[in-house]
Amino acid sequence: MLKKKSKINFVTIFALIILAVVILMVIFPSLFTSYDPLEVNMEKKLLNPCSEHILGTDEYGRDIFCRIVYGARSSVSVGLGTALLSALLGVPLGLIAGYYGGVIDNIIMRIMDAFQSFPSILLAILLSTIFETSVFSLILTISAVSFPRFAKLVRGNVLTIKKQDYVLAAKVAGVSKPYILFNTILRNCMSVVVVQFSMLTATAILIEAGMSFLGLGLKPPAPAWGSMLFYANKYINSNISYILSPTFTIFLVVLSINLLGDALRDLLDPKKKN
Amino acid sequence: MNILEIKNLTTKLSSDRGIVTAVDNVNLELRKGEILGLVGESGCGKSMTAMSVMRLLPKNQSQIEGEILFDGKDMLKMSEKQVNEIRGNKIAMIFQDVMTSLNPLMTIGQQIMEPMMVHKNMGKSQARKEAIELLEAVGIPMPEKRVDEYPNSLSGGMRQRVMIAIALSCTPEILIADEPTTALDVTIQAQILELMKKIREKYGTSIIMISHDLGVISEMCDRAAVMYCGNIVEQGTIDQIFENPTHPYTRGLLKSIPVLDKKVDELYSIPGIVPPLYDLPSGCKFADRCLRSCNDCTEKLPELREIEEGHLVRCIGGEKVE
Repeated sequence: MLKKKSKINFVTIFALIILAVVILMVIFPSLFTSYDPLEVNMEKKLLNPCSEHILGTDEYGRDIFCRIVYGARSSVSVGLGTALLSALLGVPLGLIAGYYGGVIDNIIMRIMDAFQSFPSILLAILLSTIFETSVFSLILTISAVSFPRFAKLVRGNVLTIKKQDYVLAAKVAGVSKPYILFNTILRNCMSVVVVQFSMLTATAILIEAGMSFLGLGLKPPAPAWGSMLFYANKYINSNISYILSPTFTIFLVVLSINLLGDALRDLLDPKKKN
Repeated sequence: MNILEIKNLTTKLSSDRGIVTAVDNVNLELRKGEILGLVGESGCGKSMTAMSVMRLLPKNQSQIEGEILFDGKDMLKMSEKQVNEIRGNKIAMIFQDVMTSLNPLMTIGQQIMEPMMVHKNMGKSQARKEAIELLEAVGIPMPEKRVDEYPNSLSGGMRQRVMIAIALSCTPEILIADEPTTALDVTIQAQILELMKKIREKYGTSIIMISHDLGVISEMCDRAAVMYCGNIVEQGTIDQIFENPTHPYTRGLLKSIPVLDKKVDELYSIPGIVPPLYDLPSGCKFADRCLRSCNDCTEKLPELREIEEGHLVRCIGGEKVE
């Protein structure tokens, strides 16, 4: 029997729920926990999960669940901030390079190549010695190496779209070049931009975690998923949930963002509407 | 009264094989309310003439000489901004490939509203109302519903109607139709042609009809120009061209149309092939394929001669040979 294909499936709903919870954690962390993420209690250090502390406590006796909840703020900020900054830089550059072509294209793309060929970890170490590591400096660092990908992706799309008849038709309608570029062409690039945006959000969260794990991330005592991994590493034998909790959180969030990106791409495609 | 005058238009394009002349010294005038046909095979320069008029060719790959007088002003001397004020507003254009000429991510309403909002500073709700009226005028059923649909839910014929609605949105003085019915099947073709005739009657729009289909041209146009390798080889009223074709190329084209009630083993075709633009013969470009060419033909490109009032032919043999 043929069934009507539903637009939103179970997997998408799952992803949406996870992300909704994360967003709530970012805005109202106190809804989820009554503990203070910075409160030290050495008597209760490295407890295994119990009724009082559902994920146990860390080496300073701080509640791990509480630190995960409060850590969402920095991870999500880094993820979304990076994606936003990269999109704001990369999309216009890609549009201009692809549409005008020639020398302009060459100049922009070679600069992108230069940015991309810079090792990101090295750049991160460099920046973290110059500035104190903060959410903002992390966003800058990760964006610096990831916005060229945005620009290249958009440029590639523009190259095919600008040859389409409907772009010529828009020109015939007498609209200006910037309008064609930022309306007619950008509109048709949007599905790629949205998917790239979501993937970059996920990637940035992963990079932040990786950098924190190397000790280049946010400095303690601020709660962050990546730095939790860095410290939990040493206590793997005492409290296994200490390292597993941030790991699974990162895994779930990154997975959900990617799933949402896929769903959005389908929803934005008018051929799948109606 | 001439609304558009094309004087000595020559369009050169740069290609891999060097610079080619796609449109060679074309002179045309379009009168108010007239339908002018441009006929010829693929690559003869008819679309290039239209693209030159609309200034749609990329600047770094093309060189346009001559004059294109619209309302007495030379469009080739205008700035990009001035041209934009004419495009879509005073001169509109519709294309052959209806499947790709509409933006797939904009509703058809948005696409019809766009030129009105750009050129007439019309508000959104007003433009939407006009868009629905236009859709009705071009014969789309349930326009209030269709206006919010995306192009992918429309058939080819409906898309061409939408294209025409977009072109008509600012009631242009000139409509350039570049093979408007080539991608459509025959019944839809007839409907679209009928619609275009109605538009001429209703709005007094002058139409330049580009086609390789002589049937369409004879059905639609008041006058026609036959093009070959960038030149106009014959020009006149429809009666002159179809009743008294004089250039051997025009005759060849007319002869190659199959006749319904005549059984033939093989369809007539003009001998030889169209020479490539990068390797054109000197003299008359049709001489190699012409059944009655002489030495004079290959020496020098014949001038257009007026053999009767308004009937121009680019052939030295002219009327005397039969």
